[in-house]
Amino acid sequence: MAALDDVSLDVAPGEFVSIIGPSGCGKSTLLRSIAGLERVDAGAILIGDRDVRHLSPSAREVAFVFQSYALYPHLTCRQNLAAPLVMREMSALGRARFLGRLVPGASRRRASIAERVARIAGQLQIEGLLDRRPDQLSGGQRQRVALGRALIREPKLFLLDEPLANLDAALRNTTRAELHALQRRVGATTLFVTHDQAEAMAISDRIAIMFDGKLRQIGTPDQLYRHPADLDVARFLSQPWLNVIPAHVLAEALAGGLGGGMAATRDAALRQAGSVVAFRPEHASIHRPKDRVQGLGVEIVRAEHAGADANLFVRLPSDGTQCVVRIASAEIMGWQPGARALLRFDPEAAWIFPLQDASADVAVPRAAGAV
Amino acid sequence: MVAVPDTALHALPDATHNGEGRAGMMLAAPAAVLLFVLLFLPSCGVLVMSLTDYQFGMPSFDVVGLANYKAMLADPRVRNSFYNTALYVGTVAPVSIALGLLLAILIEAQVRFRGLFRAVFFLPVTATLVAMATAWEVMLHPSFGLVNTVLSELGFARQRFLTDPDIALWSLAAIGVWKLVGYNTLLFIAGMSTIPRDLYEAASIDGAEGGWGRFALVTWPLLAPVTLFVTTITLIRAFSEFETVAVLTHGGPNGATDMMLYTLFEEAFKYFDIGLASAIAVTFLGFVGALSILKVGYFDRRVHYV
Repeated sequence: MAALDDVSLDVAPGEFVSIIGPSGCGKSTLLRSIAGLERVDAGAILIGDRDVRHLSPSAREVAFVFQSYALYPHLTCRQNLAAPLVMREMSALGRARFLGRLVPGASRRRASIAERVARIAGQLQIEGLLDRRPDQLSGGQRQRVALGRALIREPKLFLLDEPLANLDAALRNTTRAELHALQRRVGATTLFVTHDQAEAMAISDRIAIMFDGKLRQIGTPDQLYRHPADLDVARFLSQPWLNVIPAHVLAEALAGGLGGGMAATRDAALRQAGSVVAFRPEHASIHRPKDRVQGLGVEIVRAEHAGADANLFVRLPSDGTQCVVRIASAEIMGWQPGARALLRFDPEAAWIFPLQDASADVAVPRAAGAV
Repeated sequence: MVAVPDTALHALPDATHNGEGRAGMMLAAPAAVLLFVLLFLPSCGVLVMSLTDYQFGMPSFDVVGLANYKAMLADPRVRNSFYNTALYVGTVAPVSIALGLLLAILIEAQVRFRGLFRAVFFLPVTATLVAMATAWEVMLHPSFGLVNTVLSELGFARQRFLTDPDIALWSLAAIGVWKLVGYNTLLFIAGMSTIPRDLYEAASIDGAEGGWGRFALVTWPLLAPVTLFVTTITLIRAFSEFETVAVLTHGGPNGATDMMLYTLFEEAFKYFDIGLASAIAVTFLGFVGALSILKVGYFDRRVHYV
């Protein structure tokens, strides 16, 4: 089985593109293939107009930030930042500690490298850390040094493999904002791999979403959110999950006179056995039976507090399908487990997907049948 | 007003602390006693004996101070043996360490016969050296030995490897390297397998794709703790070389392969000069101890980065 299968991705200069998907979907493999760390069996990788597929990693003019940062533990931050420059611009003899002084031009090159290290350290505000070794730094500081080591070469392409995954939650949010600002300032074309969809939504120009080694959809965060190409994509971009009700269950409920006001969804597609109706928790609402609104009869299972919001989990009595509704956390006490309620959702923001969705189009944002 | 009970809560942590301490001491006691009885006491005994004129089998002895050490330093045999030991260690240790590292890199660089090579080079470590020394004796025999047969076939003169005073020590050194290099190779291989792969990947993106650059940027610095350990253990093992001397040359010809431990053995159990032998033993312990202390106390702090 191929780790990457027919993946086509076109990134504009200066663009910030995130690659997201579940673990093992091939997003890291894609990034590593572009960097030259994995062998590619077929296809082309173009950076600018140059096919780099047969070039060594260092000749591709890409920079890579590892999840583990991969800083050289025996070198100070200054030496870590300088390493890419030293390795490319100085000969093996010139790098030597004492003999290096004898090589013509070595001291001039050293000075030029030192100047660029100072500049990048200033940009990332790590001047004070330059003489420390990585083990004397916090996670966030290491991350900055790793970014600096990537930036210092002024690469054509900036590849980030889950660079924020090892930071704690609070730091992650500030760092991602800084990362975005930095990318805008430097203007480097960036591919950013993450498994955190919120992170990708927050800072990307476009998002590519992958499943099983295939690219399912690529588009702006808004396109992906409003027009997911298939059920997997919609599921991946929903918190805590996507509500999926089999169409026939909904059709039966409607036929039973429970949802007269939802006649808009009373469509031929709804009675197709193999399709599902999907909607996000934030597009659903919950009502008391005495409110006399039309909706699906449900039973409250439990509520989860999430700060300003809360997630209310409910169950359809007919087949036990679990749904989740976003409510204001102030209302949480009003909904006790076991209570009966009516579930409504915004038909404008719901989709109908075929249940088996293996044959999804790639990369084309297909407006899913909005009802 | 709030009444705070000030008894139980204060007493409790102390009690558990003491209890834990006692349990810890009891658990450590068997090992500590064994160490004391088997290592510390005999070493002290040797130290005391090195200050006396005790002869094996004699009913009494006198304290003679540092006389044994003076005699040791003046004894031409001991001086010759120390010189040989220094020469032997100075050759065997660097060669077996460098060769071990080289073999480790070569073995890890290829895939197909990795397991086979590891086993082949590790074999001398598992073999009984006395038996192996006999095999070497046959190999190096002046008239029918394999090495000499090959030499004469190639048109070189036959050598008396173990009986020529100019060659014998180097023959033993070669066997010493053969004996130590497998262990060192294995340690280096183990050390290399702990180097994170993403460091090599980072190096290849930074421009150190292979060869010397990659070795100098990642492999060598990250192997430093292993290299230090290998160096210490190889030095100690080379210092304590005994079997090959005892089996192959008996220190001969004419003292050319006499080494520290063999001299110690002969002075103690052939000439029964326990005082002199003890002085040699203490000197030997001093060398080995100094190496170990240097490793733990000084270098360890400089080569561990993480």
